[in-house]
Amino acid sequence: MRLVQRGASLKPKSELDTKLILAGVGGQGVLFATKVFSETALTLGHDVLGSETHGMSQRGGSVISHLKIGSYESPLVRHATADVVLAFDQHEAYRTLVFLRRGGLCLVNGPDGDSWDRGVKAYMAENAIAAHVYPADDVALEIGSPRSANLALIGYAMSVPEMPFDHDQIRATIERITPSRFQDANLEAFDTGYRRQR
Amino acid sequence: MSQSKQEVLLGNEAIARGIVEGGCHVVTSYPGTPSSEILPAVVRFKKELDLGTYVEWSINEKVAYEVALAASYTGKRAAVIMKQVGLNVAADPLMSSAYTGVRGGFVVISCDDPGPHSSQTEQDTRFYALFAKVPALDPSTPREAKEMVKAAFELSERHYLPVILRPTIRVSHARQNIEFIPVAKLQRPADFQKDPGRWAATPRFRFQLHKELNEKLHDIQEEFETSELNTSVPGDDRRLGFIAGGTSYAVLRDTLKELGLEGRFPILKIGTSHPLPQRLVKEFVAACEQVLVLEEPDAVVELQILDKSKLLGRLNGVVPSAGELSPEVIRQLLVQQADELGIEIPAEIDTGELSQLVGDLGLPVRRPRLCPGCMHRAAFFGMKRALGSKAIYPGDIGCYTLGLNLNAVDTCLDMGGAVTIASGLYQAYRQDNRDVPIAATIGDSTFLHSGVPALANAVYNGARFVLVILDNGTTAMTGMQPTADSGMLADGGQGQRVAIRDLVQACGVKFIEEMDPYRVQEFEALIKRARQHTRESDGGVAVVIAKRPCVLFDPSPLEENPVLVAISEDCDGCQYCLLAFECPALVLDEDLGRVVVDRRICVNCGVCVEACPKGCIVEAEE
Repeated sequence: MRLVQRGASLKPKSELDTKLILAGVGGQGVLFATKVFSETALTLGHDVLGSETHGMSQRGGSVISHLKIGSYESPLVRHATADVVLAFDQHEAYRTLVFLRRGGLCLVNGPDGDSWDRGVKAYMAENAIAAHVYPADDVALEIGSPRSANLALIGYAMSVPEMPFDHDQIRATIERITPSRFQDANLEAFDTGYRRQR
Repeated sequence: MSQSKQEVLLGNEAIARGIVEGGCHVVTSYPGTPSSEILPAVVRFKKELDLGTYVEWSINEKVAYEVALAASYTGKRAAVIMKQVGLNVAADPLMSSAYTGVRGGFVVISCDDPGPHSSQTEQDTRFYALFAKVPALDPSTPREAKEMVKAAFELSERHYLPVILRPTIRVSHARQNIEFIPVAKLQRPADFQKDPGRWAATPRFRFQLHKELNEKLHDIQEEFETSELNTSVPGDDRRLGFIAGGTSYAVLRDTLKELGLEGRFPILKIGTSHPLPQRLVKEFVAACEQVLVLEEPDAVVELQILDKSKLLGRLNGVVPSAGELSPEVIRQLLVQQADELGIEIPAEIDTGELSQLVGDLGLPVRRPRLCPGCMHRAAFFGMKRALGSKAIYPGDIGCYTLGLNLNAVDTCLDMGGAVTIASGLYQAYRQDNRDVPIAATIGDSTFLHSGVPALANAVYNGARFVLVILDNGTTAMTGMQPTADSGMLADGGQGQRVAIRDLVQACGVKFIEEMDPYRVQEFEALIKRARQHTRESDGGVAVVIAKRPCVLFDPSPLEENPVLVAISEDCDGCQYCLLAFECPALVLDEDLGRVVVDRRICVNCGVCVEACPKGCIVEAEE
C-alpha cells in the first residue's frame, strides 16, 4: 500500500533538518500532532526544539506550534523559512502561510475543491509553494471519530512525496504515544488519510 | 548525541529536572503562566525516583517564598517558583532575604513573559536582581536552563545569597530533547542555628548586613568575569559585535545562520545578567566598532554597561522598547545593520505582500473566549441581567477575565484587585452620596491568594458591594492546580481543606449565599437580593459563591445530566446570543441566516436556553 518511496524527502534523512509549523484552534490536537513529529525525530537520533502556546491564549484562540529538527538554538521558526505548514483549519492556514519558505509545502484540512483566495493562490504559485487540501474533518466524522481529524491530516501528509519523515516511523510513533482507548480511532484515521480516501 | 536517557521536555520540565538533579529538598510555587508546569514536573520526578522532596502549592508567592526560604535557613536546598508578576507579591521577602542571606542553596525561579502573552505587564525580573542586589542567571534554551538551576544552587551556597533564575516564556514553553543525569542525594538534616543578629536583625544590624551584601556582590562579580555561564563566539568582522542573552541570543544565532552571517561577527553571550562581568564586557566592547545589545524584555544588561558610546540598543531607540524580540524583529535589525555595513543579504520571499492579501480576507479574529459550558459565562450572564450595564464590574486575574467579552468585567488590575477596586469605587461614590451598583468577580484561587485581606478591609471600613466568588473548584487558567478550598495537595495527597465560605464568614460578611450559576433565573434573583443587601440600613458587602466545577477539570456533572438544545426556525439571526452570551458552540450560519449549534464542541450544558430573549433556543426533543 506504499504509494511512493518516502525518505527521499526535502533533505536526506541522515541530516534531517526541517522546520515545521502546525496550526489550528484550541482543542484540535495541534500539540499532539507536534508530539508525533518530535518523538519520531528523537527516535531517529535528531535534536528537536519547538515552541507552543499556553495560558490565556490557549482558551479557544489560535494555536501555533513551532518545531525545528536539527541543530538549532531558538525554538521559533521565522517567517519565510518553514519547510512545512500543517494547518488543521483553513483560516489558520491563511494566517500561517507567512512562515513558509520558497518551495515550501502547505497541507490544509479543508473542504474539497479549490477554495483558495485568488491572490493567495497566485502568491503560492509565484513562490513555488505546493498546497494540498484534504477534508480531514469529514473523513474523521465518517469513520466515527471526529476528534481524530488531526491524525487523518497527518496520514494524508505522509502520502505526499515531498513530506519529510517516513510513513512507517510516523505510524509507529502514533501507535506508541496514543493512549490505548484512542489507539484504534487514531490509527484508522491515520491510515484513511494515508490512503487518501475521502 | 550521547546514549544516556533522553526525553523531549518542556523548558519548565527541564527546569524541574534541574531542581531534582540538583538535590533540592523543598520546592514551593504559586501557579502562573509561563511558570506553572515546573512544580508538577518536580512531582513527576519525585514519584518516579521515589524522592522525599517536599512540594507545595502555596496560597500566594510571598508565602511560597518564605516557606522555601525557611528550609534554606535550616541548611537544606530550596527553590521557589513563580511568574514575573508573582515576584511583585514576593518582593518584600526578596529584599529582606538579600540582606540576611541564606544557608542552604536557595533559588528563586521567576519566569518572564515578553509580549506579553499571558500577563498584565512585560516587566523584567532582572530589575529585581539589581534592586535587591542578588545575582540573576538568564538561560537561552531548556537545556541550558536545567544546567543553570544546578549552577544557581552552587552559587547560592558559595555566597549565602538567594539566586534568581530568569527564564522567559520562550524557554519555559519551548520543547527540547533533554538528557537525564543521575540525581544528587544530599544529606541535609534540618539544623536551624540561632543567630538573631542575622535572622532577626534590627536596623542597626541591617546596616552591617548591607555592607556584607555589597561585599558578596563584589565577589560574585569577580567570579562572573571568568564564569562558564558567559561564553563568546569569535568573528573577524569587528565593525559590529553582539552582546546578547536569554532567548534573544538563541534567536540571534539562528537568524545569523539563516542570513549566511554565521561566524562573521563576534558575540558575547551573557548568562549572568547581574552583576555584570564589567571587565569581560569592557574588553569585548573595546574590540568592536559598534555593539548591538539584544536582551528581553528590558535593557538590564545595557543599563549596566558603563561606557555606552559604542552601543546600539533600546536606550538609543535602535531596538524596539516594547514587545518580543521575535525572529522577525531580529532579522530586521540585522538586515538594517548589514545594509549600513554594505553586506548583501540573500533575498527571501516578500511576505509583506501576503500579509496584505490575508489582511484583506477579513478572517474572523479568534480572540480567547470562555469554553462551552463554562460556569463563568452563566454567572456573568445572570449578573448582567440582574444589574444591567450601568453597574460597575471590577474583575480579576483568571479565565474569568474573559468576562470582558461579555461586558461584565470593567477593571482588571492585579491578583485580588477586584475586591479592593470595588471597595475604593464604593468609597469614592459614597463621598458624593451616590449609590452605584458595584459587582466584583474573583476566582476561588485568586480569592485565597489575596482576596481575603481585601475582603476583611472592605468589611472593616464599611464598603458595600456585591462580590461574586467564581468557585470552579480549581486554578483553571494555569492548568488545574488544586486550591486550598479543595484540600488536595500538590503531590495528589489529601490535606486539610480551608473552606472559602468559612473565610468569608470570618471576614465578618453577613450575606453569604452559594448557588450553581447554571440556574440562571434563580441566580439572577440571588444577585438582586445581594444588591438589595448592600442598600439596607444594616447591610454591607454581599458575597455570592457561584459554585460549579470547571468543565475541563470535571465534566462528570454534565455527562450525568446532559441538556440537548436546538435552535428553532424562528431564529432571525439577530445575534444577541453571540454577543451577550458568546458561547463558541453557537455560530451564525450565514447561508441559513440564523444561529446553529456546533455539535462538535457543544457540551450540552443547556444554559443557552436562557440566552435568547425571543425563546428560539429550546431544549430539543429526544
